[in-house]
Amino acid sequence: MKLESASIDDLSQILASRELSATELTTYFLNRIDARSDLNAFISVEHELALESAAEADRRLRAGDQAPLLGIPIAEKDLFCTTGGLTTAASKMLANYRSPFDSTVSLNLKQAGAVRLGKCNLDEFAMGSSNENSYFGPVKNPWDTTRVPGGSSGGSAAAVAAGLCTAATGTDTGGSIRQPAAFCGLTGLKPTYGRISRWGMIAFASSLDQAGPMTRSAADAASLLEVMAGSDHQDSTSLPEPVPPYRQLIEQSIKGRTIGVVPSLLDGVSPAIVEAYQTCQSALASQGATFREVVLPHHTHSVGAYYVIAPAECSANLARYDGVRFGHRCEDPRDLQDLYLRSREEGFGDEVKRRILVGTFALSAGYYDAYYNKAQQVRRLIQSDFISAFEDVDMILLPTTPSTAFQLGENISDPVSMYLQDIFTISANLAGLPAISFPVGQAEGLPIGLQLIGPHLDESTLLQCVHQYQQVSDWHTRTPSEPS
Amino acid sequence: MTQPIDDQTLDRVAQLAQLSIPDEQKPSLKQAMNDVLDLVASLQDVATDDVEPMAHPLSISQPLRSDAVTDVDRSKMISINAPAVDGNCFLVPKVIE
Repeated sequence: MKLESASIDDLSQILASRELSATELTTYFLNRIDARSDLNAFISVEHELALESAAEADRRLRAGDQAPLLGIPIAEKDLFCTTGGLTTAASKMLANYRSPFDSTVSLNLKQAGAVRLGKCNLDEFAMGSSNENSYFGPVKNPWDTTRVPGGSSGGSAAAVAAGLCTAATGTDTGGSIRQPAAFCGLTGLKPTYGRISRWGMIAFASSLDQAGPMTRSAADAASLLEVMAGSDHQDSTSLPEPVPPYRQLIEQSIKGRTIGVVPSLLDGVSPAIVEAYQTCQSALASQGATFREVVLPHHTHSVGAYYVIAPAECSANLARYDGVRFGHRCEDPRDLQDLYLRSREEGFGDEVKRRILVGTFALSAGYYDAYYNKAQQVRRLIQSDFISAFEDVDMILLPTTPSTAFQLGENISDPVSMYLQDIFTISANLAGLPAISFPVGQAEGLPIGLQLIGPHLDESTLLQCVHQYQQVSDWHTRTPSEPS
Repeated sequence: MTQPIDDQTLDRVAQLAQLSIPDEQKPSLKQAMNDVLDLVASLQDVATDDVEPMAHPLSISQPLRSDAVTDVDRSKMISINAPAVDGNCFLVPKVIE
């Protein structure tokens, strides 16, 4: 068995049987990370911390601890605050920031025994769809290093796809888990808004941001979600509902499940993705799922609503970076105003500044009703469309992306064409719904992902459907070739 | 559709956002912002009379907790991130002449 592509269940078994220690496993993965520095998937590799965690995992293993992720090597998107190292959000603004606390996600993973190998690269403050907006440079897609891994959780996706860790955390504000999962051949789940605490996850757009797992399979995603999810008194928007035993539930058959399809939304999608969509439908039908057409009349307005609401919330959230208490400060400020203006100008990258300015404009006097209020009304209509559709179907199947991974540099100078990459993923964030991307094929050696969107808090059904699909397909087991 | 961002609007928005923008970047930034606003312009075609704006995906109320101090003193950990400190005070340029 190749350790770099082994499942969480397999590695847990290897560790429990003492075939390998957590320290040996951690060392193996740290060496792999160092060997693939060309991908730029990590902002910081935490060798010492990881080996300390591994030693602790070994002690717990010897003591018979049954923690679900004991000794499993993971990576975290560098948007999660963690103690012991840096937390940068891939921004010059936070390039030297040391968090005084751990995010709830990071703490939950630590308590479950996971060994964090490092912090993954991302688009600055999670704003981007290609990972080219990072202060620490772009990440390369392990399937083709001339292409983007997607974004904003591009480092997490590249790290898992290249076998540099077993699983990784991501965050998804408009598709930032699902789009890179699709581009890198992974399973990526954006849970229901509120399912996972946002405490210690650096805020971009607070009504849309949600953490989730990025893994090779639905089974691994279920294992991670069980640990990451749950109510948290530190986040008043975290949901109080108990966390189901996802890993058990996914074993159930999908016979009798009804999946919605929206044929009109396939217009303009690359032919290879449409073909993969149809093949996937056949596979799911052979397992007993039925399909029914549904309509999502306002889906086409998702991008418009999102690119008002997300920048508006971003402009408010990023107001905290003023160069006074933490973060970048300009040299020799003349006065307080000069300190604010130049620290922010120097500390933020171009895309972040564009979004702050668009958001500030949309919230400003005289424009609020025409932009922000209108976008919020359209958001309500988009959510209502889903509620109506879920009266007839259990979930909806859509492409994750209109195309496979594009070339590095291809869209970087045209923000609007970059924004349109998110056309299929944004609506789930606006409606607060769970959605999962999973690999269903390849075109010219590049992975293709499709997406299932489900009703509020029904992650189980999505994971179950993808897990059952992965019992009769092998796309999730394929790995990119490695440099010789 | 007319382009909403002109030079004057860009300067006003930048001032509101507390961002200084170098003069040579203004034309391209103005264009990029207008392109984004053009992308979102189709929202105006959607009939939204009597539609309640949706600020948040959850309809939940804020939970209450007892009014007790739960935080620990992290002042040392917090001040190590500050660009300039004196004791427990963040230093900024002189505010009052």
